[in-house]
Amino acid sequence: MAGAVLSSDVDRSPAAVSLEGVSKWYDNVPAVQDFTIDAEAGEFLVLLGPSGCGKTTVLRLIAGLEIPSQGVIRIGGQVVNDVDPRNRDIAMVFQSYALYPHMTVRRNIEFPLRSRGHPAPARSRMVEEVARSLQLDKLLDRKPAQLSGGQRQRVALARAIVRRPLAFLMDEPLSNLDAQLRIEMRAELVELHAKLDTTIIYVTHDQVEATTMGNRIAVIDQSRLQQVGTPREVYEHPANAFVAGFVGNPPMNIIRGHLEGEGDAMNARFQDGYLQLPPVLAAAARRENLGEVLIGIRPQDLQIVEQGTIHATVSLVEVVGSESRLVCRFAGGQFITVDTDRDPAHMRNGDVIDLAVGRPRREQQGVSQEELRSLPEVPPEALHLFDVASGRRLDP
Amino acid sequence: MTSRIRSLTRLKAIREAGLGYLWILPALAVFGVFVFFPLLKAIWLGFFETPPFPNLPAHFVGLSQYASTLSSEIFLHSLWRTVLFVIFTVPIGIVLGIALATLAHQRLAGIRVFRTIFSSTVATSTAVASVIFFTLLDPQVGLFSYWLGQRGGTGILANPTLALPAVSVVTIWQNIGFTFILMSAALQSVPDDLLEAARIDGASNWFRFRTVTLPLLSPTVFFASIVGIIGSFQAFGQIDLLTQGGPNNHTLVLIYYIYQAAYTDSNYGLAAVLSIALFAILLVLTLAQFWFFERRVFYVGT
Amino acid sequence: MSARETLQERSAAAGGIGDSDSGGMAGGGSNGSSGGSSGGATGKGGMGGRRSGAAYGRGHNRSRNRVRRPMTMGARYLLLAVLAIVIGFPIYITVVNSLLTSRQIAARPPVLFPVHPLWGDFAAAFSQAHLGIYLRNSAIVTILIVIAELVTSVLAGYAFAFLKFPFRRLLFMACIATMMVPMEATIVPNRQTIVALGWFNSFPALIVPFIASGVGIFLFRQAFLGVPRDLRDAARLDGYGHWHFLTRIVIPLNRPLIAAFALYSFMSAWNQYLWPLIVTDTNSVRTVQIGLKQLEGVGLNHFNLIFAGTLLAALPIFLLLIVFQRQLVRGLSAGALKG
Repeated sequence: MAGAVLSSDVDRSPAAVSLEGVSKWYDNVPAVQDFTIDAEAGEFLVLLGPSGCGKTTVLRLIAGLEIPSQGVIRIGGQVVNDVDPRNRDIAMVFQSYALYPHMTVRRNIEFPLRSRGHPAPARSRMVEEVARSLQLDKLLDRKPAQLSGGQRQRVALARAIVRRPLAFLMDEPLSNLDAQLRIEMRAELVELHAKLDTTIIYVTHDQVEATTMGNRIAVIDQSRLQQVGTPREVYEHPANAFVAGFVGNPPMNIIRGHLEGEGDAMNARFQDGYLQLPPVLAAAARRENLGEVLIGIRPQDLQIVEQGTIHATVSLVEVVGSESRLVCRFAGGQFITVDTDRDPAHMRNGDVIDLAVGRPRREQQGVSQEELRSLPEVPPEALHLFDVASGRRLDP
Repeated sequence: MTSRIRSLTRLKAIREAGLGYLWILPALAVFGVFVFFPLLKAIWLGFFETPPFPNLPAHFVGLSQYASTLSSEIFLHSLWRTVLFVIFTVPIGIVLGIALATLAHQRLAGIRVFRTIFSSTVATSTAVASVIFFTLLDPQVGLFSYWLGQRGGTGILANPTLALPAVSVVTIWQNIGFTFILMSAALQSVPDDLLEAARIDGASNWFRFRTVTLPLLSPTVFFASIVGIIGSFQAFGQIDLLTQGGPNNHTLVLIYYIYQAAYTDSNYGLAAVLSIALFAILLVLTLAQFWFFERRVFYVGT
Repeated sequence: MSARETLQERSAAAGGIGDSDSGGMAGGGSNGSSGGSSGGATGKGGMGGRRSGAAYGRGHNRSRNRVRRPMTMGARYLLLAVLAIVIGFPIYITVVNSLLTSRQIAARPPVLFPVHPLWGDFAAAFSQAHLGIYLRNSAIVTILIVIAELVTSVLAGYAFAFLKFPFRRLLFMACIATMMVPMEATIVPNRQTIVALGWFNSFPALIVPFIASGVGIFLFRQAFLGVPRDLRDAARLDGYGHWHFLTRIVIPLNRPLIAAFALYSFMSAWNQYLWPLIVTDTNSVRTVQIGLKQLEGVGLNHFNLIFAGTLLAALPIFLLLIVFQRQLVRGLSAGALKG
């Protein structure tokens, strides 16, 4: 995909896409509720959520394939609620690619141009240009059934690009590719986005895809928008327990704890031990007057210590490169994961280990064994507190 | 805004519904005029007795015409001839079809020629088949009459004992192509390894056929039976072209009885009652066919 | 009827567009079962298929295991030949007789091979027996029925598969229910309708009652439901409405089924007998099947005309079957759905 994707492209500036209070119900079952989000012009916005959360419906609403029950949709500042899909000037790439099986690659790519009254010579020039840029030029006379998964994916992209739409909608376009190809296509799509200088709204359930590709991520669950932010924001400051558990691999450990203690010295007690909260978080919890909280700790923020306040039983040792990941039983049944750089060789199933919260400290010069063995101070950014009832994040 | 969206949604729905009605309209109009209306009208006509002389008004007799007709000797005779016709045509046709398909399911040089001949009658219409046999059975010049030593006289088709069997032979012959193709297709879907396994177990050809092939063919056999029975209940052309219901009403099947009542005797009331009886019989058979399809789909699903 | 709906949903779920060629009757609903009466063979071209014979072809190699002696090669050919002669003879002798004079036909012992074939019988069938008119009438009626039936069935099938409108389910049921009303049961009132419309002895009488088909609507709806929703959405975004989606995507994708249905439709229209008999009584609109009935009465001196006429009446179907072998099994099975 070297060079400009469309050299003859007329000046086509990307359009912003915005949703304001958009809802969609099917027979009183909500698919999307009160959705407000702006995709800026030229942005790569990822809609991330588990299957059935409503993210595809959002895409279909933007495309005009569904009509919202409520709210306003704007493309390039224009309200498009009553604009037919064909006149919204946006292209969509489907999970199934939706290539027309009986048409050649050339006809597939050309198809959207035919309905728009481009003359034949212009059409074939545009098709060939796009095909060349996506390395499809040798496949133009094949039918979709004769193509590999990756090639079909490119044809679907070409069919979208050839129209030079105001924005691209992509519905899990990589989910039918094998793992290696998916990683390559991720990079290509990001490159393509930069070259086309266009708005892309991209739906996926794969949080790795979301965090690696998107300028911003919108996390959706149960038909509602949970959080919008850059990948880093979403990862470091999840707005609620759902986002915390959904973004990050392996998922964040979320443990329920009783709060006890006075003043700044506050502990969260579990069945198998307790955790001393940093003063800022203790203050936040006290301000809300909570007796119980959900505590989120990422696996890499847990470390194994000789004498700790949290006790867990090793269930599974998984070696990941130079590091290892432990799955432990904790608090009478719940599993938690711990990422550690310790040599797993001496870990066994059924071992009871002590855990502490904090970035792992490597054995290095100048740090005594005493210091290593002592409990590290709990860094506030490694702990995420959430309200038990609403899942809402408690900020210091 | 909300109300505008609602009205917009409604407008689109109305336009889509309008297109839907427009596209089903031609079919529905034809069905209305030539299927549903006449069906109801036939039931209604059955309430009126047609007077013996034309130009007199038909008078309402309610259900009594249904009762008298359906219990009349001629109706029961006609029904019995129809059932006999079904019995003569369907089982023999299917057994013959299976036999031909099995024979043609061999790897032999030139087998394609035989397959083509066996399936060739599918191209004949009832009228074509009937006229061919009409000439062959002609008492003066017909070859079959000659070979069967029936030359001269009134001929096979005028023989009360032989007329219905003769018409049945014509029907079997005309349908054999279809049955053969159906059975061949079914036979091809019998997995070879099942037969191989039976062969290694030392089973004879006949035993293998009976225990492996035939059970696997049974859905097709059932399908062909129902289709054959319905087809035989509707058989008209061969009667009209070969025997016209005779001799002495020996080939007066139900459908021909209807035709005679309506167009020879102009007794529309009687014809209507007979039509409804035919409809009821075919309805039961068709429902059996649907039920069968469903059951088969169920098997595939599980 | 609700159970019937289950069947449709199931078969709809089973049939994708890709396999619409190999699907059996009822849009894929019934193929693939153990005895699949049609599905298996369709894709392989009618009754072809070469993976036969394991049971019979090599039986004699296992003489130790057999219980009965399998037939020898010669016996098998003999049996096949006898059956082929029995089944093939009526058509064969019709061809032979159509090339003979009336005197030769009546000769005894019979002439079984035309040493000096005469082609005059065919010309005479046209000139003396109105066969040209009959064939023309049949062609007009059949072609118009096939076209109109395809149009109405495809449109209604599409509407029931893709468009939403009130009473859709009920109306679809009504269309399916027509399969249970045989034409034979309604001829009396239908003929009255034709007379009342002033259509007696006219082409509309022969055509209009048959331009809608419950089987066709059912088959096409099933097949169209197998077209992925993504294709419809893609086409909408590409700028195409229902009409263009139907003509440029749905119809091309379902061409094999449409061809099979057209074949079935052609055969049943061409072979119609009872209905044309009761709504026509002049040669100008009689179809060829009814023409055969007229031929029957020509008498012994013109027997040769009967053979020539019969062959001509069957010829279009023969030719069609040769061209459309692939669709044959499927078309026949579809037709068999009609009660």
